[in-house]
This record gives sequence, structure tokens and C-alpha cells, in this order.
Amino acid sequence: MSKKNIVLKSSNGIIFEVEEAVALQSETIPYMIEDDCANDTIPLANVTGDILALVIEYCKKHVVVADGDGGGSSSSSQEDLKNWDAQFMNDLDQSKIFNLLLAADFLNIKTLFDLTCQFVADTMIKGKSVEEVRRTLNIEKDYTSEEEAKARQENEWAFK
Amino acid sequence: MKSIQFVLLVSRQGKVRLTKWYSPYTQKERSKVIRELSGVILNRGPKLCNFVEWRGYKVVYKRYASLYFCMCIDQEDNELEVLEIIHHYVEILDRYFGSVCELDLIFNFHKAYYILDELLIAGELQESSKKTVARIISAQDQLVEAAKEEADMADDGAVGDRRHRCYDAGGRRKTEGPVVVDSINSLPDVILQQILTFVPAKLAITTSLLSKRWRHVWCDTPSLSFDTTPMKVAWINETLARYTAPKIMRFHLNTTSICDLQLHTIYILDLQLQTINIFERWIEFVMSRHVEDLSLELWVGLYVLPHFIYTSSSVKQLTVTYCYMAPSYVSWTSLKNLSLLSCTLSDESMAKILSGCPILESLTLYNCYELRILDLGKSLRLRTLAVERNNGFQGPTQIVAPYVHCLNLRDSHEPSCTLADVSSLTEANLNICYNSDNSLKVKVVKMLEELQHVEKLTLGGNFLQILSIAELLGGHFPVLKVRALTLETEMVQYVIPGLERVLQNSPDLMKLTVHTSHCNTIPGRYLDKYLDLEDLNPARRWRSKDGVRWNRSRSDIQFKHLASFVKLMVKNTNALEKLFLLLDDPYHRFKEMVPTLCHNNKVSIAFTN
Repeated sequence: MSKKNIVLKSSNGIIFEVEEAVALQSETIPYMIEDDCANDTIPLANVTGDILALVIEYCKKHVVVADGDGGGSSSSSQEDLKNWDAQFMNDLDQSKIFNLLLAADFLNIKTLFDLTCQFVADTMIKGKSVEEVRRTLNIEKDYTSEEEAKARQENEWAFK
Repeated sequence: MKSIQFVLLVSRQGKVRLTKWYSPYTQKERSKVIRELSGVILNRGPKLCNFVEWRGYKVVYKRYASLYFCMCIDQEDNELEVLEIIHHYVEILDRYFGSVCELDLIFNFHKAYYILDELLIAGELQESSKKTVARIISAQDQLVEAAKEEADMADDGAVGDRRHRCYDAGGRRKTEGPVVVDSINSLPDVILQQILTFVPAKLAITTSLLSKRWRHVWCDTPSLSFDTTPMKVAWINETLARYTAPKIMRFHLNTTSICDLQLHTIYILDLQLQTINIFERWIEFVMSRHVEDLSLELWVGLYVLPHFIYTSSSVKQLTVTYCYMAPSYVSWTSLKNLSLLSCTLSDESMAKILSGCPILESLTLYNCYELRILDLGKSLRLRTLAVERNNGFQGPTQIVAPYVHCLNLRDSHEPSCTLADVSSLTEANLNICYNSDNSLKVKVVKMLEELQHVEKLTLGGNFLQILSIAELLGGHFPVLKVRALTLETEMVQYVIPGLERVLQNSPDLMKLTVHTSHCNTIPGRYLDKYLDLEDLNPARRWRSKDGVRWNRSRSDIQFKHLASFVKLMVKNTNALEKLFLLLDDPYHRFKEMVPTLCHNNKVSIAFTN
């Protein structure tokens, strides 16, 4: 079976050549192929090279599994994949994660977008106090004490 | 001379939603006109003409859902044309808001005015193209959005941060310049809100304290989930009051998390009146926000679902737990997934529900009362069915599902459920628990007959044990077309005869997976006792045809048993390409010896935790 390759170009000019099936996990790319001509490189002006590399790594892993039984029964490969996903996310620093979110949103890769959102929610927000979340996410508190009191009052119950 | 004198939108309750005057009227005259006209129009019967003569003018009106759209014109004007204009306006509103409802006009009244102004100038129709109007309004929205962002940025003091602007009004990314963010604050609201969909409502709300940037982010989160304790009725009321998203993607409510529900419950003749009102308000709220994924766990007595819940064009996924369902009419035109857990509903109600769900794809019924015959013969698009019946619950006793492709059946209630027509099945997952039903062995074989065409089959340990009994007593087994078989069972002597028979009767089997787990709940002694009654020679029991003896329980398994097990499976399957063994705890001690079993490259073995 002949496999068609697609060439993607990141915002800083780095070229990636991937199999069509890998690229088509993005719902944005097909439109770009339709819009331009499929033979040329597809420029992704919003995604930098290092982030695009991550996206492709994710897509490659997931395309293999979607392809067939690849050496495990369905349940075990699902489990493997979950572990792989967890490891994949764990290895990233915050800035990479946020940029990955933007890229997954722009490229419209639903599973990657949800995975990343879930990861942020689980590791940076859940089970933490407001102060802890601020520290984790590096958010500067710009409320004056009156403003904070007002915001607190607005949804009083949630802060108990 | 003007064509249209004024435009008036009045709700069925007489509330004015929009007025636009194209002739001079004083404030006093205006209120008089509104009062008079609402009186006239609201009281007209549905079959009366859409034109009313009034004070030398003509009023053309039309009702759309709960709203009356009225336009007043001169005597000599063409009323049919005006009727067209009204419809035209409604169509544009509909397209802009996405199936518009009265609430859209209440919350976004200014948009309704803008659209009207694009359409009519000085009482004359000025733009007849819906597309043009839509384009102008969206351009206007973008302007507003851009201005807002600029103002936000000035507030935030985030000088030079243009990143928010990479998103247009709809939250879609515009393709411009590379974007690199280094802080969560630089992500657009739509993404922050997606992150918040993964946390409970209470926690999402606390993010408003983080910083000014986060103050109102949660209000537009497309998902609300109330299932963490402790929760109070008043809190939920307040949250909903502050919630601004025009559309709720997902709403989940679990009443066990509400600690003061008892205070809101007044029992009158076994009806919990107050609670019912509260639930109805909440459900009505989320339905008015076009909820798509609705999940209600209402553990208060047996709550009777209100009738208005049965009509919705937005709900795609619905999960209802512990409710009484007796609809008089059902119209769930977008519903694809329906799950009813511990609900009570009659066959007749089920039929009404099914006929009101034209595109239903997946149905789940766990422990439902009253239901007897589940007839899915008219649900042409239903592909997946999951049924679970535990002790004490009736569930359906018979399943007629000619179009279903994938069936998942867990049954531990007697009399067991029978399959009447499942001719389209390609995938099935069955487990049946012990019961004293003497005819069970016959029923299990019969069930297997119904599943002859299934290509992907999963059988549970109990199912195999009952098959063993049927085999030992000399039942007749069908030949199966199964290509991929999964067994969720322990490796014990009680499954051997049934397993051997199933494998021998599956000539096309290519992939076999055995997932060991603690799921054989029928104790061996019951099976022995059963065979005692049947007077079967104890020496012949529980051995494979080549006379090998097997372990009695999960704990006394030895490596030789595992080896014989693998041998037995390979021997009885000619077409087999791959055998997977997924072994749990008790087998971990064989970890070092296991590779010797994999000499045949068909076999692969993995361990689970």
C-alpha cells in the first residue's frame, strides 16, 4: 500500500514530513489541503517547531493504535496508550503545555485538546486552594482587598 | 406615508420584549398602544386570521413559540408582505442565535434591535438578504469583541499583549502571526473554560478569586457539574443565576451531594412538593440554555420527571437516574445516547420514548423496573444496547433488537432475560450470574444460538460455567461464526468443559483473549451439587477431553495448570492467529516461567495490575 506523505511547516520554518493518516487526526489540516494544493507544504503559522514536534509525536502514537491490533488486545493497548499519554503530559513544562493547548485547539485535535485540558485541571487546579493555584500557575493577584471581598461575596458559597 | 408604523414583540404572558416606533408617539400613547394591542392579540384564538383592524390601521401579527411578533401598517398596505417581513426577521434571528428562543431575546435584546435596524429603516424594508444582514451583524460583533479586549488589556495592564486577539468573536483562531504563550493568563477564555469543564462547578467558581482576568471566566464555562459534597439548594440557585453561557454543553446534578434537600421537602400525600418545584426550575433552566449532555441523578423518593423535559431539540445525551418516567408525548429529535439507571417505566412509556427519538444510537438500561418486553424493532438507527439486571430489579425480560449491532448484557436476576431477535448483532458481551433457575443451561445454549452470527464475542466466567454444565449434560451446541473471542474468567476446572466446547464450535476463530479476573461468582460447590442431582459420575466431571485434571479455585492454581490451559486453547483452535493472555495478581508468581509458554509465536502473555 502506498502511503502519502504530508509536509507541514512550523511558524519558525521547520519542516516536518508525516504520513497522511498521522496528519489527518487534525480536523483543520484537511481544510488546508482543500484550500491550497495538496502537493505543497502546509504552513502552520500559529505553531512553533518544538510544539509541532510534540503534536506529531502524539499523533504518531495514536495513529498506530487506531490502525490495528499492533501487538496487544484492545483492552491492553488502551491501557498502554493511557499510560503513554500520562507520561507524555508529565514530561512537559507549563509553557509547553499551554502552547500545546493552543496548537491542539488550532489544529482541532479533539483527543489531544481534551487530554491537555484534563491534565491542567487535574494537576494544577483540582484539590488546591486559591492561593496554591495562583502559585502553581504563576498568577499574580491583582485584586485590591475590596475587590477581592466583592468577588468573594458574589459567589460566597463556593469559597467555604 | 410610512409602511410600518411600529414593531412590537410581546410574550404570551403579555410581557413586552421589543418595541420599535417608526412614527411619533408620546410615551403615554406608547403604553396605551401596547396595553390595548396585547389585550386584543393575546386573546385571539389560534385559528383566527393574522390581521386585526385597529384604530384605522391594520396590525399584522404572528406567533412563534411563546412570542407574538406584531407590526402595525396603514389600511392600504399589503398585509401579506408584512407577514413575510416578520418571518424574514424571525429567520435571521434564528440563524444568528441558533434556534432562537424567548430567553435569547431577553438576554441579548440589543442584538435583536441591531438586527431589526439592519432590516428596517424608517418603517421600510431596506435589506432583503439574510446573508448580508448576518455578515454585517457578525462584523459588528467582532468590532465589539476587539474593543472589549483592548479595554481588558488596559485593565490587566498587560501592555503589548496582543495574544487574546488571535481569537475572533466565536472563539475561533484567526490565522495570523506565530503565537507563543508563557502563562495561563494569556490563553483565550474559550480554552480556560474548556479546562474548567473538567472540574466541579464549585471549584470552577473559586477560580474567580484568582485575579481580575479570571473574575468572570467561569460564568461562561460550557459545562456545570454539581456532584461534590456538601452542596446547598440556595447555592445552586445562585450559581445558575450568575451563569451567563447561552448554551450549556453538559449539566450534571447528583442530589446526594445536596445536604439541605430535606429542608426543602414538604411531604404531602407522598409527593415531595417543594423539591419537585426546585428540580423543575433547574431542569427548565438548563433546557432553556439548550443543554446537550444532561445527566440527572435524583435520589429523592421516585421523582416523576416533568413533562416539559420530554420535548427538546438540543439534548444529545441524556442520563437519568432513579426517576419515574411516564411521558404523554416525547420529542427528542437530537438524542443519540440515552441511559436510564434505576428508573421505573412501563413498556408503553418505553415505546413512546423510542418513537420520539428518531436518531437514537445507543441505549443503556440498568436495573429498570416495570419494563417487560423491550421492543427496539422500530429504532432503525439504534446500534448499541447495554442492559444490566441485578437482583430485585425486573429489567426487560425479553429483548427484541433486530437492528442492534453491539449488545452488552449483564444479568443476575431471574427469570433471566431472553433474546428474541438480534439478527444484526456483530458484537456481544455477555455475562450471567448464578440463579436457581433450572432451565438456565437450556437458556444459555439458546442464547448462544442467537449469537451465531456475532463476530466479536465476549463471555463472562459465569456464562462459561453454566455452559460447562450444559456440555456435561450433553446439550447440543450451535456452530459459531465468531472471529475474535474474549473470555473474562478465572482459569478453574469449572469453565473447562464449556470452554472446550465453545472453541471446538468456533472454526473461524482468529483471535482469542483471556482476561483473568475475579468474576466467577457462582461457587463451585453449587455446580457440584447440581451435577450430583443429575447423577453424573464424579470422576468424569471437570476434566478436559484428554483427561487432564484442573485446579478447583483461583488460589490453588499451579504453573502446570496454566501450561495445560494454554495447550488446551491452542489445540482446539485451528485457524487461530493470536492468543493473548492478560493475567492478574495470582499469576504474577509465574512471571519468570511464563516465557516458556510463548515458544509458539501465536501466544503472547501480559500481566495486569
